[in-house]
Amino acid sequence: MRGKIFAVKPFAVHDGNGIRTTVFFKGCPLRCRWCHNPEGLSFETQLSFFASKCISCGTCMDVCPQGAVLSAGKIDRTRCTTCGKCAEACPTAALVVQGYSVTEEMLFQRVTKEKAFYRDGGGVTFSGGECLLQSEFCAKVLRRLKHAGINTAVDTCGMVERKDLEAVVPFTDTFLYDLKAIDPKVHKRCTGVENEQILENLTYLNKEGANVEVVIPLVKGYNLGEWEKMLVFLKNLERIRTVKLLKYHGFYFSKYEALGWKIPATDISAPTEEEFAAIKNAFEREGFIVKI
Amino acid sequence: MESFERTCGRPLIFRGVMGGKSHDELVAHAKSVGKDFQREKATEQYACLVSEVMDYCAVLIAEGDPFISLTDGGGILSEFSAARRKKLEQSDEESDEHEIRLRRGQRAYAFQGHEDFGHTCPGYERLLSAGICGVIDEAKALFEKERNVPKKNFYRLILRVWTSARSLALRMADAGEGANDENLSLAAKNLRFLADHPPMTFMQALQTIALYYELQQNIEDTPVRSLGKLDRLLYPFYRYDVEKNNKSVKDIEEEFSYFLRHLDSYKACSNIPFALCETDPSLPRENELTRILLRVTLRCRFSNIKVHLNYRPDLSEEIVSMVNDAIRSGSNSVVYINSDITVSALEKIGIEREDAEDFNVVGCYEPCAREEIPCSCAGRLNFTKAVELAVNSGEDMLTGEHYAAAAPDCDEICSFEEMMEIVKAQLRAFAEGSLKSAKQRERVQIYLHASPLLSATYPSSFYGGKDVYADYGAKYNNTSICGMGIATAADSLYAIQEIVFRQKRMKLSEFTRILRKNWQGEEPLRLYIKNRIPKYGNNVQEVDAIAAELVEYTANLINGKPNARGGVFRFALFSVDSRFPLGEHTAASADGRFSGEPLSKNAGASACADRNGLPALLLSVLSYDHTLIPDGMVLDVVLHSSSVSGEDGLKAMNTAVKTYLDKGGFAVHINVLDAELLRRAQKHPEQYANLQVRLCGWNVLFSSLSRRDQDEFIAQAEVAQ
Repeated sequence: MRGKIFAVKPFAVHDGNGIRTTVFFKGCPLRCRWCHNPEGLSFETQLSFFASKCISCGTCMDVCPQGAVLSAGKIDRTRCTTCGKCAEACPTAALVVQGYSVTEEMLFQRVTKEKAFYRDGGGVTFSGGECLLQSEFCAKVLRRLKHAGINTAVDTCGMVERKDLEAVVPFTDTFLYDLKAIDPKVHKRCTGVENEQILENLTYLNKEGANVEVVIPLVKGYNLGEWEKMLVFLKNLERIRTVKLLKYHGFYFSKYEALGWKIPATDISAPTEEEFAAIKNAFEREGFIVKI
Repeated sequence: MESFERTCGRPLIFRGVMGGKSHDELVAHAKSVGKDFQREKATEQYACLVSEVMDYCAVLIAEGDPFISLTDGGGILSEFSAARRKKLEQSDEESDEHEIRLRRGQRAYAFQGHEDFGHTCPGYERLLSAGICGVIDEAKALFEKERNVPKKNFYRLILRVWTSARSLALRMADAGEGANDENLSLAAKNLRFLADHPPMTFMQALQTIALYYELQQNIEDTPVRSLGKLDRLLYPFYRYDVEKNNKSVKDIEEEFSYFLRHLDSYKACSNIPFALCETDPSLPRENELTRILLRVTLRCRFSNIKVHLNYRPDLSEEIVSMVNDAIRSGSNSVVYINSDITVSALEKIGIEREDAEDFNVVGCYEPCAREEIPCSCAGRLNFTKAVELAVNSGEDMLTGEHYAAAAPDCDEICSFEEMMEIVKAQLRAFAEGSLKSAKQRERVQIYLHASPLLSATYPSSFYGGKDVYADYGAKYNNTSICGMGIATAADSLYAIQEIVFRQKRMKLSEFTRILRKNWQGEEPLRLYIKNRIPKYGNNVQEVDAIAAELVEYTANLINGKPNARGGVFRFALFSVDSRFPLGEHTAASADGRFSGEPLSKNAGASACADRNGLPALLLSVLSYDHTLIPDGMVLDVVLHSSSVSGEDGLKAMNTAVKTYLDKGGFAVHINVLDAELLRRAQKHPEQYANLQVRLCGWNVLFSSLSRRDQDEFIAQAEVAQ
């Protein structure tokens, strides 16, 4: 069986406990307006072009079998088959193929290379995109990791079928569960979909006694008004005690440009220090452990 | 004593209390003695000059300083050695073919040998238990008893020099008493006591160390490159003060703060290091004093003070946390040294276990066993140059000369395995060249230098009646050769393997032509290699294996080979700032480096080539056996401040350091940088006057770096991001 991923990031320090290696899976059911990993949205392989790295050497034009490179860095995406020949030859990695297929064995070998550093609670985190869209594959690799004594974490948006969650629950030490809004209309405006399934799945994980850290991005202009509702909702999930508050930042625009896409939202900003501190305090007052 | 809090912000301002002769008079005298050189050992004249400088130099004191140790006697003995060296060089002649090749190799920076009197850790136990007066008494007794003429002479000179040291201490006491300053009076009182007794209190022990430092480092001109394991050395004096003098921890902290400020005022080149934590595995890692001294050092943030933190797996996590927390907030004066690896490495070159277990690091990373003179920077060899010669039929691309092994024409090299063999042949020739050059220098050193101060602190030397330098009197008289530019060499070889032998993009001769032309007209290829071909430092097994093969092969060519002083050679893997001059003399390399660019730093990856996270870098460096590197090696790690922020970040830092060391890493030092901050500091140095970075083996103020060095730090910080 094979899975499709677009990146493996070693020395991930802020994605769960200890030193971790994070695997980013391709494909996501959500379209968050502030998504920082747009190359993970589509399940299809894509080609990114980072103009700032291009030296206009023309190598890509020479090697493209489809004639899809019109001039240095100018790509006819209708002709491009993402065969990756240009990216392979590009001297500066201005061209990058987003997405490749891996076997269980390949992925297992890759993430266990840094195993020595997983002591003190560290391990492997599956993220994305939405890794649980490939839950069967994830479950297989997670099981092997568990058997090898490696701590596992799954970072999910929760917009998956119940069986997808069930598949990984036995092999997942920690769920990093994203929560963006409670009001379905707000959620739809933020992510393109309503959130019934997400809230149900989170309730299910709580009931199952899974170890869950709820990750809340705080994005001004979109979901900042939702935090009180989220707090109320989480208070009722008695086993969930840890939340991680993420402050929006804007260091991702170049990734959209590289894919030939428009930036989805410009009416967007980070909460102020005061707003952020007030939200953090409110969660702490209710007894939550707040990570930032 | 005046409170340190009130005075610590003030820099010390020194003024001279004149001795009998001016600095210039003493320099002129040393020069004239040096010129009158008839090929006799330096011992007699050197000792007499040291003694005269002590008798006549000016004493420097600073208001509010409870220590007195500085003089204007530095830089005088070096004039004597320089004058003698000049005479020696005049008598050297160009000789046989062998000699000519040796000189060509040295000029090309392929391999070199130097004298090294600069890496010592005096026997502090002896110094603190006997004191100046104890040394004098013992030397007197041995002088009277000794029948052997050279030995009797040795004791006579020791007696003369140490008696001058005692008089100087008394002159310092006079200067302090005359200053009408509370703190200086205290210093004077301690010095007067120390003229006739070994130290008893904490302050007296510190005064002894400071005074000795000045005498050996500046007057005798034998750099002191460690103050020893201060927690162990100072412990009895600390206990004495706590028990007999009712001193509190706060008092001790204050006294140590004063001591650090005093040392910091020396502005010694590449810092003043001391060690903390026990190296002997049978003893506890720390005592009551360890954290006190560490806390004060981290708090004071003096840019000229450096700590070698001796690590073993049983070192408390709290200490690691304390250090890492300080490092990430910009107080990066601590380097971790792995005790177990060091001891094994020293044992492998024949040092007895007990002596190995009492090692100190002298200078940046170089372990020095008890009773060892390691001459830790006595020679170097250029790994990258070996690859240059191997692809160019044995000819230096820049000088056009042949000085190492003969090599076949490029097109006759059919496989990468053959290529490696040719590189090894060059390395063999380089190793021979560096050993030979170092031995030549060693034979000469007896004419240039002697060490009547240091020799008295080495039991082997003192009781054997032999000077550590002029008579090779230490128990272990070893010599070290550093291998430099390992990552540049490994990356270059891997690129050749990929481009020529795997992808078959071009013949080796074509590649060599491109290198000779310094990549002219080949920028896409150069960038492709630089950006797309795997590099050492990313845990890519094939590249790391090349580095490991080169390191282990070369280590075996050096380690344990006899030197000219009855000791052995030791291998090191660091390039510190030598990577600049070596780089300037090394042609374009196949890893995408231009001719003249610096070689890779220490045991680390080529500049900005480690792009796969910290664990990958650490695993690459662990791909070879660090116990084959008895003269030490280090890895410089650059982390971005965001990656180690918060509690998670600190824990990750601790885990990374401990994992690396537990898996056999010799030493690591860490810079936590933020490119944006560095850019601001470059633009407005006045606002960031205290910003420290660790440059190779020592830490410096960022504002004091050259533009080139600053830019390199900024580039590294960007990669870490």
